[in-house]
Amino acid sequence: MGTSCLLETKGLGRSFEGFAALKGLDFSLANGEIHAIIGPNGAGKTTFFRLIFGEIPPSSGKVIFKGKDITGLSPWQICRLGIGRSYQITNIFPQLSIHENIRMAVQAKRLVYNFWSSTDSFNTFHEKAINIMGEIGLESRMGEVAANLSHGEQRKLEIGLALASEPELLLLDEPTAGMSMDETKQTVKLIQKIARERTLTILMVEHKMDVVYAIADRITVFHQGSVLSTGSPDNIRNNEQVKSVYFRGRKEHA
Amino acid sequence: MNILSGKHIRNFCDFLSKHPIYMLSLILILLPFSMSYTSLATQILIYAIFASGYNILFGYTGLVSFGHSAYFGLGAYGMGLALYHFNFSQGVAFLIGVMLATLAAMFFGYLSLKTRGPYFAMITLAFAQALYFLAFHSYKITGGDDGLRNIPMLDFRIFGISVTPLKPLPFYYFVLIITLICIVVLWRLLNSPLGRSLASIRENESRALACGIDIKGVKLFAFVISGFFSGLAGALNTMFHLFVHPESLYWTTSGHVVVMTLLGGTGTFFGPFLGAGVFMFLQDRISAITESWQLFVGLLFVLCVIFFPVGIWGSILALFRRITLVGNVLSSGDERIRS
Repeated sequence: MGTSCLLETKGLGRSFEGFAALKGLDFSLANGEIHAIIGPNGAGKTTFFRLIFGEIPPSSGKVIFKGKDITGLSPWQICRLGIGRSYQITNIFPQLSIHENIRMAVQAKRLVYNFWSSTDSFNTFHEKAINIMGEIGLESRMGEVAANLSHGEQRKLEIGLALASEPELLLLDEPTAGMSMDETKQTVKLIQKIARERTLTILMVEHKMDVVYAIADRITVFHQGSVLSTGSPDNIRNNEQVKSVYFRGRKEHA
Repeated sequence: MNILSGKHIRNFCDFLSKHPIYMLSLILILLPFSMSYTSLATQILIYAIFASGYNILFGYTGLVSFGHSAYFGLGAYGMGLALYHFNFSQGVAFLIGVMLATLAAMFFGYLSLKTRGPYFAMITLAFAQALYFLAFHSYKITGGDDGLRNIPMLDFRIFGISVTPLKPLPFYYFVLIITLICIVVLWRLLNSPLGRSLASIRENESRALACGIDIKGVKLFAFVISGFFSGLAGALNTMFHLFVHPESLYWTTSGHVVVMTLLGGTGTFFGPFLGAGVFMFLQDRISAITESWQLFVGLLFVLCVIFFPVGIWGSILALFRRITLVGNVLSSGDERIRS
Protein backbone atom coordinates (compact mmCIF):
# COMPACT_ATOMS: atom_id res chain seq x y z
CA MET A 1 0.00 0.00 0.00
CA GLY A 2 1.23 3.44 -0.84
CA THR A 3 -0.65 5.24 1.89
CA SER A 4 -0.19 4.36 5.51
CA CYS A 5 -2.29 1.54 6.82
CA LEU A 6 -4.85 2.29 9.55
CA LEU A 7 -6.39 -1.10 10.09
CA GLU A 8 -5.09 -4.50 9.19
CA THR A 9 -6.25 -8.02 9.84
CA LYS A 10 -3.97 -10.99 9.56
CA GLY A 11 -5.42 -14.44 9.09
CA LEU A 12 -8.56 -13.35 10.91
CA GLY A 13 -10.91 -16.29 11.26
CA ARG A 14 -13.95 -17.25 13.23
CA SER A 15 -15.99 -20.42 13.31
CA PHE A 16 -19.35 -20.96 14.93
CA GLU A 17 -19.77 -24.55 16.09
CA GLY A 18 -17.64 -25.91 13.30
CA PHE A 19 -18.99 -23.59 10.63
CA ALA A 20 -16.24 -21.27 9.39
CA ALA A 21 -17.90 -17.85 9.05
CA LEU A 22 -14.59 -16.20 8.27
CA LYS A 23 -11.65 -18.09 6.85
CA GLY A 24 -8.33 -16.50 7.74
CA LEU A 25 -8.88 -13.05 6.30
CA ASP A 26 -6.01 -10.75 5.33
CA PHE A 27 -7.35 -7.27 4.91
CA SER A 28 -5.91 -3.80 5.05
CA LEU A 29 -7.50 -0.40 5.17
CA ALA A 30 -5.61 2.69 4.07
CA ASN A 31 -5.73 5.89 6.05
CA GLY A 32 -8.48 8.19 4.80
CA GLU A 33 -10.22 5.86 2.40
CA ILE A 34 -13.88 4.94 2.28
CA HIS A 35 -14.02 1.24 1.86
CA ALA A 36 -17.20 -0.74 1.26
CA ILE A 37 -17.67 -4.43 1.91
CA ILE A 38 -20.29 -6.18 -0.17
CA GLY A 39 -21.26 -9.79 -0.50
CA PRO A 40 -24.22 -12.12 -0.28
CA ASN A 41 -25.92 -12.84 3.04
CA GLY A 42 -23.82 -15.09 5.21
CA ALA A 43 -20.59 -14.02 3.53
CA GLY A 44 -19.21 -13.00 6.94
CA LYS A 45 -19.45 -9.20 6.67
CA THR A 46 -21.04 -8.53 10.04
CA THR A 47 -18.89 -11.21 11.67
CA PHE A 48 -15.90 -9.31 10.32
CA PHE A 49 -17.15 -6.10 11.97
CA ARG A 50 -17.83 -7.85 15.24
CA LEU A 51 -14.32 -9.30 15.27
CA ILE A 52 -12.69 -5.93 14.55
CA PHE A 53 -14.73 -4.25 17.30
CA GLY A 54 -14.04 -6.97 19.85
CA GLU A 55 -17.65 -8.04 20.26
CA ILE A 56 -16.65 -11.65 19.74
CA PRO A 57 -13.15 -13.13 19.96
CA PRO A 58 -11.61 -14.53 16.79
CA SER A 59 -10.82 -18.23 16.46
CA SER A 60 -7.58 -17.30 14.76
CA GLY A 61 -5.57 -14.34 13.54
CA LYS A 62 -5.32 -10.80 14.78
CA VAL A 63 -6.54 -7.25 14.28
CA ILE A 64 -4.04 -4.41 14.11
CA PHE A 65 -5.17 -0.81 14.45
CA LYS A 66 -2.62 1.99 14.01
CA GLY A 67 0.13 -0.58 14.33
CA LYS A 68 -1.19 -1.84 17.65
CA ASP A 69 -2.55 -5.33 18.18
CA ILE A 70 -6.11 -4.86 19.44
CA THR A 71 -7.16 -8.51 19.29
CA GLY A 72 -8.93 -9.55 22.47
CA LEU A 73 -9.70 -6.04 23.70
CA SER A 74 -13.21 -5.20 24.81
CA PRO A 75 -15.41 -2.92 22.64
CA TRP A 76 -15.16 -0.05 25.15
CA GLN A 77 -11.37 -0.15 24.96
CA ILE A 78 -11.42 -0.33 21.17
CA CYS A 79 -13.83 2.62 21.09
CA ARG A 80 -11.42 4.63 23.22
CA LEU A 81 -8.58 3.82 20.85
CA GLY A 82 -10.48 5.53 18.04
CA ILE A 83 -12.93 3.20 16.35
CA GLY A 84 -16.63 4.11 16.21
CA ARG A 85 -19.30 1.62 15.29
CA SER A 86 -22.85 1.86 14.01
CA TYR A 87 -25.15 -1.11 13.86
CA GLN A 88 -27.29 -2.74 11.23
CA ILE A 89 -30.15 -3.03 13.70
CA THR A 90 -30.64 0.35 15.36
CA ASN A 91 -28.85 0.33 18.69
CA ILE A 92 -29.59 3.52 20.64
CA PHE A 93 -30.67 4.53 24.16
CA PRO A 94 -34.44 4.48 23.54
CA GLN A 95 -35.72 6.24 26.66
CA LEU A 96 -33.21 9.11 26.61
CA SER A 97 -33.56 12.27 24.58
CA ILE A 98 -31.47 12.75 21.45
CA HIS A 99 -29.32 15.22 23.31
CA GLU A 100 -28.74 12.82 26.18
CA ASN A 101 -28.02 9.99 23.76
CA ILE A 102 -25.28 11.97 22.06
CA ARG A 103 -23.91 13.54 25.21
CA MET A 104 -23.74 10.14 26.86
CA ALA A 105 -21.62 8.93 23.98
CA VAL A 106 -19.49 12.10 24.01
CA GLN A 107 -18.70 11.87 27.70
CA ALA A 108 -18.35 8.09 27.75
CA LYS A 109 -14.83 8.21 26.42
CA ARG A 110 -13.38 9.87 29.47
CA LEU A 111 -14.17 11.12 32.95
CA VAL A 112 -16.31 8.10 33.58
CA TYR A 113 -15.05 7.82 37.14
CA ASN A 114 -15.78 11.41 37.96
CA PHE A 115 -18.74 11.07 40.29
CA TRP A 116 -18.70 14.49 41.89
CA SER A 117 -18.92 17.24 39.26
CA SER A 118 -22.22 17.81 37.55
CA THR A 119 -22.35 16.68 33.94
CA ASP A 120 -23.81 20.06 33.06
CA SER A 121 -20.64 21.77 34.20
CA PHE A 122 -18.72 20.13 31.39
CA ASN A 123 -19.49 22.62 28.67
CA THR A 124 -17.35 20.83 26.14
CA PHE A 125 -19.65 17.80 26.35
CA HIS A 126 -22.60 20.00 25.66
CA GLU A 127 -20.94 21.82 22.77
CA LYS A 128 -19.71 18.64 21.15
CA ALA A 129 -23.16 17.12 21.46
CA ILE A 130 -24.71 20.19 19.82
CA ASN A 131 -22.16 20.01 16.99
CA ILE A 132 -22.89 16.39 16.30
CA MET A 133 -26.64 16.94 16.38
CA GLY A 134 -26.11 19.71 13.84
CA GLU A 135 -24.03 17.42 11.64
CA ILE A 136 -26.62 14.66 11.58
CA GLY A 137 -29.44 17.17 11.19
CA LEU A 138 -31.30 16.42 14.41
CA GLU A 139 -30.52 19.63 16.29
CA SER A 140 -34.08 20.90 16.14
CA ARG A 141 -35.37 17.73 17.77
CA MET A 142 -32.79 17.36 20.51
CA GLY A 143 -35.30 17.20 23.36
CA GLU A 144 -37.25 14.37 21.77
CA VAL A 145 -37.06 10.92 23.32
CA ALA A 146 -35.19 8.62 20.92
CA ALA A 147 -37.93 5.99 20.93
CA ASN A 148 -40.32 8.54 19.37
CA LEU A 149 -38.13 9.17 16.32
CA SER A 150 -38.89 7.83 12.86
CA HIS A 151 -36.78 4.97 11.56
CA GLY A 152 -34.77 7.29 9.33
CA GLU A 153 -34.05 9.66 12.23
CA GLN A 154 -33.03 6.78 14.45
CA ARG A 155 -30.57 5.68 11.78
CA LYS A 156 -29.08 9.19 11.80
CA LEU A 157 -28.82 9.06 15.58
CA GLU A 158 -27.11 5.72 15.18
CA ILE A 159 -24.41 7.40 13.08
CA GLY A 160 -24.29 10.31 15.54
CA LEU A 161 -23.57 7.93 18.43
CA ALA A 162 -20.73 6.37 16.46
CA LEU A 163 -19.31 9.82 15.74
CA ALA A 164 -19.56 11.00 19.33
CA SER A 165 -16.41 9.25 20.46
CA GLU A 166 -14.52 11.21 17.77
CA PRO A 167 -13.20 8.13 16.02
CA GLU A 168 -10.53 7.95 13.36
CA LEU A 169 -12.12 4.87 11.90
CA LEU A 170 -15.86 4.57 11.51
CA LEU A 171 -17.45 1.17 11.03
CA LEU A 172 -20.87 1.56 9.43
CA ASP A 173 -22.97 -1.57 9.24
CA GLU A 174 -25.62 -1.01 6.58
CA PRO A 175 -26.20 2.67 7.36
CA THR A 176 -29.15 2.89 4.96
CA ALA A 177 -30.90 -0.31 6.09
CA GLY A 178 -34.68 0.03 5.80
CA MET A 179 -34.52 3.59 4.46
CA SER A 180 -36.65 5.15 1.75
CA MET A 181 -34.98 6.40 -1.45
CA ASP A 182 -35.05 9.93 -0.15
CA GLU A 183 -33.60 9.06 3.24
CA THR A 184 -30.94 6.96 1.54
CA LYS A 185 -29.84 9.96 -0.54
CA GLN A 186 -29.65 12.12 2.58
CA THR A 187 -27.59 9.50 4.36
CA VAL A 188 -25.17 9.23 1.44
CA LYS A 189 -24.69 13.00 1.61
CA LEU A 190 -24.25 12.80 5.38
CA ILE A 191 -21.58 10.13 5.12
CA GLN A 192 -19.72 12.04 2.42
CA LYS A 193 -19.88 15.19 4.51
CA ILE A 194 -18.57 13.66 7.71
CA ALA A 195 -15.86 11.79 5.84
CA ARG A 196 -14.67 15.06 4.32
CA GLU A 197 -15.04 17.33 7.32
CA ARG A 198 -13.72 14.95 9.92
CA THR A 199 -11.09 13.32 7.70
CA LEU A 200 -12.41 9.95 8.68
CA THR A 201 -11.53 6.55 7.42
CA ILE A 202 -14.74 4.63 6.85
CA LEU A 203 -15.33 0.93 6.53
CA MET A 204 -18.91 0.13 5.65
CA VAL A 205 -21.07 -2.85 4.89
CA GLU A 206 -23.77 -1.97 2.38
CA HIS A 207 -26.15 -3.83 0.12
CA LYS A 208 -27.40 -0.97 -2.02
CA MET A 209 -24.98 -0.81 -4.93
CA ASP A 210 -25.85 2.78 -5.88
CA VAL A 211 -24.84 3.84 -2.35
CA VAL A 212 -21.61 1.85 -2.60
CA TYR A 213 -20.71 3.30 -5.99
CA ALA A 214 -21.50 6.82 -4.82
CA ILE A 215 -19.39 6.70 -1.68
CA ALA A 216 -16.68 4.08 -1.83
CA ASP A 217 -13.08 4.59 -2.93
CA ARG A 218 -12.49 0.88 -2.82
CA ILE A 219 -14.71 -2.17 -2.60
CA THR A 220 -14.07 -5.60 -1.18
CA VAL A 221 -16.34 -8.49 -2.10
CA PHE A 222 -16.83 -11.17 0.52
CA HIS A 223 -17.94 -14.62 -0.45
CA GLN A 224 -18.33 -17.59 1.90
CA GLY A 225 -16.02 -16.19 4.52
CA SER A 226 -13.19 -15.16 2.20
CA VAL A 227 -12.30 -12.18 0.07
CA LEU A 228 -13.34 -12.75 -3.51
CA SER A 229 -11.94 -9.53 -4.87
CA THR A 230 -10.78 -6.05 -3.89
CA GLY A 231 -10.58 -3.05 -6.13
CA SER A 232 -11.92 0.29 -7.27
CA PRO A 233 -15.67 0.58 -7.99
CA ASP A 234 -15.03 0.31 -11.73
CA ASN A 235 -12.87 -2.75 -11.27
CA ILE A 236 -15.53 -4.47 -9.24
CA ARG A 237 -18.35 -3.47 -11.55
CA ASN A 238 -16.61 -5.19 -14.46
CA ASN A 239 -15.20 -8.17 -12.63
CA GLU A 240 -16.69 -11.35 -14.16
CA GLN A 241 -16.19 -13.46 -11.08
CA VAL A 242 -17.93 -10.91 -8.87
CA LYS A 243 -20.77 -10.65 -11.35
CA SER A 244 -21.34 -14.37 -11.30
CA VAL A 245 -21.37 -14.89 -7.51
CA TYR A 246 -22.88 -11.65 -6.37
CA PHE A 247 -24.78 -9.54 -8.83
CA ARG A 248 -26.44 -12.37 -10.68
CA GLY A 249 -27.38 -14.05 -7.44
CA ARG A 250 -28.90 -10.80 -6.23
CA LYS A 251 -31.00 -10.41 -9.33
CA GLU A 252 -32.36 -13.91 -9.03
CA HIS A 253 -33.33 -13.44 -5.40
CA ALA A 254 -34.59 -9.91 -5.79
CA MET B 1 -46.81 44.74 53.51
CA ASN B 2 -49.22 42.01 52.54
CA ILE B 3 -48.24 42.21 48.88
CA LEU B 4 -44.63 42.07 49.85
CA SER B 5 -45.06 38.93 51.91
CA GLY B 6 -47.14 37.34 49.14
CA LYS B 7 -44.33 38.01 46.71
CA HIS B 8 -41.85 36.57 49.15
CA ILE B 9 -43.90 33.44 49.50
CA ARG B 10 -44.13 33.08 45.73
CA ASN B 11 -40.41 33.61 45.32
CA PHE B 12 -39.84 31.04 48.03
CA CYS B 13 -42.08 28.53 46.23
CA ASP B 14 -40.28 29.22 42.94
CA PHE B 15 -36.98 28.67 44.64
CA LEU B 16 -38.17 25.35 46.08
CA SER B 17 -39.46 24.03 42.78
CA LYS B 18 -36.18 24.91 41.10
CA HIS B 19 -34.17 23.30 43.87
CA PRO B 20 -35.96 20.08 44.73
CA ILE B 21 -33.30 19.12 47.25
CA TYR B 22 -34.26 22.09 49.44
CA MET B 23 -37.89 21.09 49.03
CA LEU B 24 -37.12 17.59 50.24
CA SER B 25 -35.04 18.98 53.11
CA LEU B 26 -37.92 21.19 54.20
CA ILE B 27 -40.34 18.26 54.13
CA LEU B 28 -37.91 16.14 56.14
CA ILE B 29 -37.38 18.90 58.70
CA LEU B 30 -41.13 19.02 59.27
CA LEU B 31 -41.68 15.27 59.00
CA PRO B 32 -41.62 14.38 62.74
CA PHE B 33 -44.50 16.76 63.38
CA SER B 34 -46.71 15.01 60.87
CA MET B 35 -46.14 11.59 62.36
CA SER B 36 -47.93 10.10 65.34
CA TYR B 37 -44.56 9.63 67.02
CA THR B 38 -41.05 10.82 66.21
CA SER B 39 -39.39 7.40 66.05
CA LEU B 40 -41.50 6.53 63.03
CA ALA B 41 -40.02 9.51 61.20
CA THR B 42 -36.51 8.38 62.19
CA GLN B 43 -37.20 4.90 60.89
CA ILE B 44 -38.47 6.39 57.62
CA LEU B 45 -35.21 8.32 57.18
CA ILE B 46 -33.12 5.22 57.74
CA TYR B 47 -35.10 3.15 55.27
CA ALA B 48 -35.10 6.04 52.80
CA ILE B 49 -31.28 5.99 52.79
CA PHE B 50 -31.38 2.22 52.34
CA ALA B 51 -33.90 2.44 49.49
CA SER B 52 -31.97 5.27 47.82
CA GLY B 53 -28.84 3.15 47.90
CA TYR B 54 -30.73 0.21 46.48
CA ASN B 55 -32.23 2.46 43.83
CA ILE B 56 -28.77 3.25 42.43
CA LEU B 57 -28.42 -0.37 41.42
CA PHE B 58 -32.04 -1.27 40.75
CA GLY B 59 -33.49 1.94 39.35
CA TYR B 60 -30.58 3.69 37.71
CA THR B 61 -28.37 0.83 36.56
CA GLY B 62 -31.18 -1.66 35.99
CA LEU B 63 -29.65 -4.50 38.01
CA VAL B 64 -32.10 -6.41 40.19
CA SER B 65 -30.50 -7.57 43.41
CA PHE B 66 -32.55 -9.59 45.89
CA GLY B 67 -29.80 -9.60 48.46
CA HIS B 68 -29.40 -6.07 49.69
CA SER B 69 -30.21 -7.15 53.21
CA ALA B 70 -26.60 -8.39 53.20
CA TYR B 71 -25.21 -4.85 53.17
CA PHE B 72 -27.87 -3.38 55.45
CA GLY B 73 -27.29 -6.26 57.87
CA LEU B 74 -23.50 -6.07 57.67
CA GLY B 75 -23.65 -2.34 58.38
CA ALA B 76 -25.87 -3.09 61.36
CA TYR B 77 -23.80 -6.00 62.69
CA GLY B 78 -20.50 -4.29 61.94
CA MET B 79 -21.52 -1.32 64.07
CA GLY B 80 -23.09 -3.49 66.79
CA LEU B 81 -20.18 -5.93 67.09
CA ALA B 82 -17.60 -3.15 67.09
CA LEU B 83 -19.44 -1.49 69.98
CA TYR B 84 -20.36 -4.60 71.92
CA HIS B 85 -17.19 -6.67 71.68
CA PHE B 86 -14.49 -4.09 71.12
CA ASN B 87 -15.89 -1.05 72.84
CA PHE B 88 -14.99 1.25 69.99
CA SER B 89 -16.32 4.77 70.04
CA GLN B 90 -19.60 5.38 68.22
CA GLY B 91 -17.92 7.16 65.33
CA VAL B 92 -15.32 4.46 64.76
CA ALA B 93 -17.92 1.71 65.10
CA PHE B 94 -20.09 3.51 62.58
CA LEU B 95 -17.22 3.65 60.08
CA ILE B 96 -16.46 -0.03 60.69
CA GLY B 97 -20.07 -0.94 59.91
CA VAL B 98 -20.11 1.10 56.72
CA MET B 99 -16.69 -0.18 55.61
CA LEU B 100 -17.68 -3.79 56.28
CA ALA B 101 -20.77 -3.42 54.09
CA THR B 102 -18.82 -1.63 51.36
CA LEU B 103 -16.07 -4.23 51.25
CA ALA B 104 -18.61 -7.03 51.19
CA ALA B 105 -20.40 -5.27 48.33
CA MET B 106 -17.10 -5.11 46.48
CA PHE B 107 -16.48 -8.82 46.95
CA PHE B 108 -20.02 -10.12 46.41
CA GLY B 109 -20.63 -7.58 43.66
CA TYR B 110 -17.56 -8.72 41.77
CA LEU B 111 -18.72 -12.34 41.92
CA SER B 112 -22.42 -11.65 41.30
CA LEU B 113 -21.76 -9.44 38.29
CA LYS B 114 -20.28 -12.39 36.46
CA THR B 115 -23.89 -13.50 36.01
CA ARG B 116 -26.87 -11.65 34.62
CA GLY B 117 -30.64 -11.37 34.87
CA PRO B 118 -32.34 -13.93 37.11
CA TYR B 119 -29.02 -15.58 37.94
CA PHE B 120 -27.74 -12.28 39.24
CA ALA B 121 -30.84 -11.87 41.42
CA MET B 122 -30.48 -15.42 42.75
CA ILE B 123 -26.78 -15.22 43.52
CA THR B 124 -27.17 -11.95 45.41
CA LEU B 125 -29.98 -13.60 47.37
CA ALA B 126 -27.78 -16.63 48.07
CA PHE B 127 -24.96 -14.48 49.46
CA ALA B 128 -27.36 -12.64 51.74
CA GLN B 129 -28.94 -15.85 53.00
CA ALA B 130 -25.50 -17.33 53.66
CA LEU B 131 -24.68 -14.32 55.84
CA TYR B 132 -28.03 -14.63 57.60
CA PHE B 133 -27.37 -18.24 58.60
CA LEU B 134 -23.85 -17.36 59.62
CA ALA B 135 -25.19 -14.68 61.97
CA PHE B 136 -28.02 -16.91 63.12
CA HIS B 137 -25.74 -19.77 64.13
CA SER B 138 -22.85 -17.77 65.59
CA TYR B 139 -24.63 -17.49 68.92
CA LYS B 140 -21.55 -16.54 70.93
CA ILE B 141 -20.65 -13.64 68.70
CA THR B 142 -23.94 -12.31 67.39
CA GLY B 143 -26.42 -13.55 69.96
CA GLY B 144 -27.94 -15.83 67.32
CA ASP B 145 -31.68 -15.60 66.98
CA ASP B 146 -31.94 -13.49 70.13
CA GLY B 147 -30.10 -10.77 68.29
CA LEU B 148 -27.25 -8.63 69.52
CA ARG B 149 -28.42 -6.85 72.67
CA ASN B 150 -27.05 -4.34 75.16
CA ILE B 151 -25.18 -2.33 72.59
CA PRO B 152 -23.59 0.79 74.14
CA MET B 153 -25.67 3.87 73.47
CA LEU B 154 -24.81 6.97 71.50
CA ASP B 155 -24.79 9.95 73.82
CA PHE B 156 -23.19 13.28 73.06
CA ARG B 157 -24.03 16.88 73.66
CA ILE B 158 -24.01 19.54 71.04
CA PHE B 159 -25.00 23.17 71.75
CA GLY B 160 -26.27 22.00 75.11
CA ILE B 161 -28.65 19.48 73.57
CA SER B 162 -28.03 15.87 74.36
CA VAL B 163 -28.31 13.57 71.36
CA THR B 164 -29.27 10.03 72.27
CA PRO B 165 -31.81 7.56 70.92
CA LEU B 166 -33.73 8.04 74.18
CA LYS B 167 -34.64 11.55 73.10
CA PRO B 168 -36.52 11.04 69.84
CA LEU B 169 -36.53 14.57 68.47
CA PRO B 170 -32.82 15.46 68.82
CA PHE B 171 -31.96 11.99 67.57
CA TYR B 172 -34.21 12.49 64.57
CA TYR B 173 -32.38 15.66 63.62
CA PHE B 174 -29.06 13.95 64.12
CA VAL B 175 -30.13 11.24 61.65
CA LEU B 176 -31.53 13.95 59.38
CA ILE B 177 -28.14 15.66 59.14
CA ILE B 178 -26.58 12.40 58.04
CA THR B 179 -29.48 11.87 55.62
CA LEU B 180 -28.98 15.31 54.12
CA ILE B 181 -25.30 14.61 53.58
CA CYS B 182 -26.31 11.37 51.83
CA ILE B 183 -28.82 13.27 49.69
CA VAL B 184 -26.19 15.78 48.55
CA VAL B 185 -23.69 13.02 47.76
CA LEU B 186 -26.31 11.01 45.87
CA TRP B 187 -27.51 14.06 43.98
CA ARG B 188 -24.02 14.96 42.83
CA LEU B 189 -23.23 11.36 42.04
CA LEU B 190 -26.31 10.84 39.89
CA ASN B 191 -25.77 14.10 38.01
CA SER B 192 -22.10 13.39 37.36
CA PRO B 193 -20.78 11.79 34.18
CA LEU B 194 -20.52 8.51 36.06
CA GLY B 195 -24.11 8.75 37.29
CA ARG B 196 -25.32 9.42 33.78
CA SER B 197 -23.45 6.45 32.43
CA LEU B 198 -25.45 4.23 34.84
CA ALA B 199 -28.59 5.01 32.83
CA SER B 200 -26.82 4.10 29.60
CA ILE B 201 -26.23 0.62 30.97
CA ARG B 202 -29.87 0.31 32.01
CA GLU B 203 -31.04 1.60 28.63
CA ASN B 204 -28.79 -0.37 26.33
CA GLU B 205 -25.81 -2.27 27.61
CA SER B 206 -24.32 -3.23 24.25
CA ARG B 207 -24.48 0.36 22.98
CA ALA B 208 -22.98 1.67 26.21
CA LEU B 209 -20.10 -0.74 25.68
CA ALA B 210 -19.70 0.39 22.07
CA CYS B 211 -19.67 4.03 23.23
CA GLY B 212 -16.60 3.39 25.31
CA ILE B 213 -18.14 2.80 28.73
CA ASP B 214 -16.37 0.20 30.81
CA ILE B 215 -19.64 -1.45 31.78
CA LYS B 216 -18.09 -4.06 34.06
CA GLY B 217 -16.30 -1.38 36.04
CA VAL B 218 -19.29 0.97 36.16
CA LYS B 219 -21.62 -1.82 37.27
CA LEU B 220 -19.27 -2.79 40.07
CA PHE B 221 -18.99 0.84 41.09
CA ALA B 222 -22.80 1.11 41.23
CA PHE B 223 -22.94 -2.07 43.30
CA VAL B 224 -20.33 -0.82 45.77
CA ILE B 225 -21.92 2.63 46.16
CA SER B 226 -25.25 0.93 46.62
CA GLY B 227 -23.75 -1.32 49.29
CA PHE B 228 -22.17 1.70 50.96
CA PHE B 229 -25.51 3.48 51.45
CA SER B 230 -27.22 0.26 52.50
CA GLY B 231 -24.51 -0.32 55.11
CA LEU B 232 -24.78 3.25 56.29
CA ALA B 233 -28.51 2.80 56.80
CA GLY B 234 -27.86 -0.46 58.64
CA ALA B 235 -25.35 1.17 60.98
CA LEU B 236 -27.79 4.00 61.71
CA ASN B 237 -30.43 1.39 62.47
CA THR B 238 -28.17 -0.16 65.12
CA MET B 239 -27.50 3.26 66.61
CA PHE B 240 -31.24 3.86 66.68
CA HIS B 241 -32.46 0.55 68.16
CA LEU B 242 -29.35 -0.42 70.21
CA PHE B 243 -30.11 -3.88 68.98
CA VAL B 244 -29.36 -5.98 65.89
CA HIS B 245 -31.79 -8.68 64.91
CA PRO B 246 -30.63 -11.37 62.47
CA GLU B 247 -33.69 -10.52 60.43
CA SER B 248 -31.82 -7.46 59.20
CA LEU B 249 -29.82 -9.95 57.09
CA TYR B 250 -32.86 -12.03 56.16
CA TRP B 251 -34.36 -11.97 52.67
CA THR B 252 -37.51 -10.22 53.93
CA THR B 253 -35.39 -7.11 54.52
CA SER B 254 -34.28 -7.29 50.88
CA GLY B 255 -37.91 -7.74 49.93
CA HIS B 256 -38.96 -4.65 51.88
CA VAL B 257 -36.41 -2.44 50.18
CA VAL B 258 -37.51 -3.70 46.75
CA VAL B 259 -41.13 -2.89 47.64
CA MET B 260 -40.25 0.57 48.99
CA THR B 261 -38.27 1.44 45.86
CA LEU B 262 -40.95 0.17 43.50
CA LEU B 263 -43.71 1.82 45.50
CA GLY B 264 -41.99 5.19 45.34
CA GLY B 265 -40.72 4.94 41.78
CA THR B 266 -37.56 3.24 40.56
CA GLY B 267 -34.93 5.36 38.90
CA THR B 268 -36.30 8.59 40.38
CA PHE B 269 -34.37 10.54 42.98
CA PHE B 270 -37.20 11.16 45.45
CA GLY B 271 -39.13 7.94 44.83
CA PRO B 272 -37.31 5.92 47.49
CA PHE B 273 -38.02 8.62 50.11
CA LEU B 274 -41.71 8.59 49.32
CA GLY B 275 -41.72 4.80 49.06
CA ALA B 276 -40.03 4.36 52.44
CA GLY B 277 -42.40 6.91 53.95
CA VAL B 278 -45.57 5.31 52.61
CA PHE B 279 -44.38 1.81 53.46
CA MET B 280 -43.44 2.63 57.06
CA PHE B 281 -46.53 4.75 57.59
CA LEU B 282 -48.82 1.98 56.38
CA GLN B 283 -46.97 -0.63 58.37
CA ASP B 284 -47.42 1.51 61.47
CA ARG B 285 -51.11 2.21 60.91
CA ILE B 286 -52.19 -1.21 59.70
CA SER B 287 -50.18 -3.16 62.26
CA ALA B 288 -52.02 -1.19 64.96
CA ILE B 289 -55.26 -2.71 63.67
CA THR B 290 -54.23 -6.19 62.58
CA GLU B 291 -51.18 -8.39 62.89
CA SER B 292 -51.41 -9.38 59.24
CA TRP B 293 -50.34 -5.92 58.04
CA GLN B 294 -48.12 -7.48 55.40
CA LEU B 295 -51.24 -8.80 53.67
CA PHE B 296 -52.53 -5.28 53.16
CA VAL B 297 -49.20 -3.73 52.26
CA GLY B 298 -48.71 -6.62 49.83
CA LEU B 299 -52.12 -5.99 48.31
CA LEU B 300 -51.34 -2.30 47.91
CA PHE B 301 -48.04 -3.23 46.33
CA VAL B 302 -49.75 -5.49 43.78
CA LEU B 303 -52.24 -2.74 42.92
CA CYS B 304 -49.46 -0.21 42.63
CA VAL B 305 -47.38 -2.37 40.31
CA ILE B 306 -50.43 -3.01 38.10
CA PHE B 307 -51.86 0.50 37.97
CA PHE B 308 -48.81 2.68 38.69
CA PRO B 309 -45.90 0.71 37.28
CA VAL B 310 -43.63 3.74 37.61
CA GLY B 311 -44.44 4.11 41.31
CA ILE B 312 -46.16 6.88 43.22
CA TRP B 313 -43.51 9.51 42.61
CA GLY B 314 -42.97 8.30 39.06
CA SER B 315 -46.69 8.76 38.36
CA ILE B 316 -46.73 12.23 39.90
CA LEU B 317 -43.76 13.17 37.74
CA ALA B 318 -45.38 11.80 34.60
CA LEU B 319 -48.53 13.78 35.34
CA PHE B 320 -46.51 16.89 36.07
CA ARG B 321 -44.56 16.54 32.83
CA ARG B 322 -47.76 16.17 30.87
CA ILE B 323 -49.11 19.39 32.34
CA THR B 324 -46.02 21.54 32.07
CA LEU B 325 -43.93 20.21 29.25
CA VAL B 326 -46.34 19.58 26.40
CA GLY B 327 -44.68 20.78 23.23
CA ASN B 328 -41.96 22.33 25.29
CA VAL B 329 -38.57 21.26 24.05
CA LEU B 330 -36.32 21.02 27.05
CA SER B 331 -33.46 23.38 26.81
CA SER B 332 -30.37 21.24 26.99
CA GLY B 333 -28.29 21.51 30.07
CA ASP B 334 -31.60 21.55 31.85
CA GLU B 335 -32.01 17.84 31.67
CA ARG B 336 -30.62 17.22 35.09
CA ILE B 337 -31.86 14.40 37.14
CA ARG B 338 -34.21 16.59 39.10
CA SER B 339 -36.65 13.94 39.99
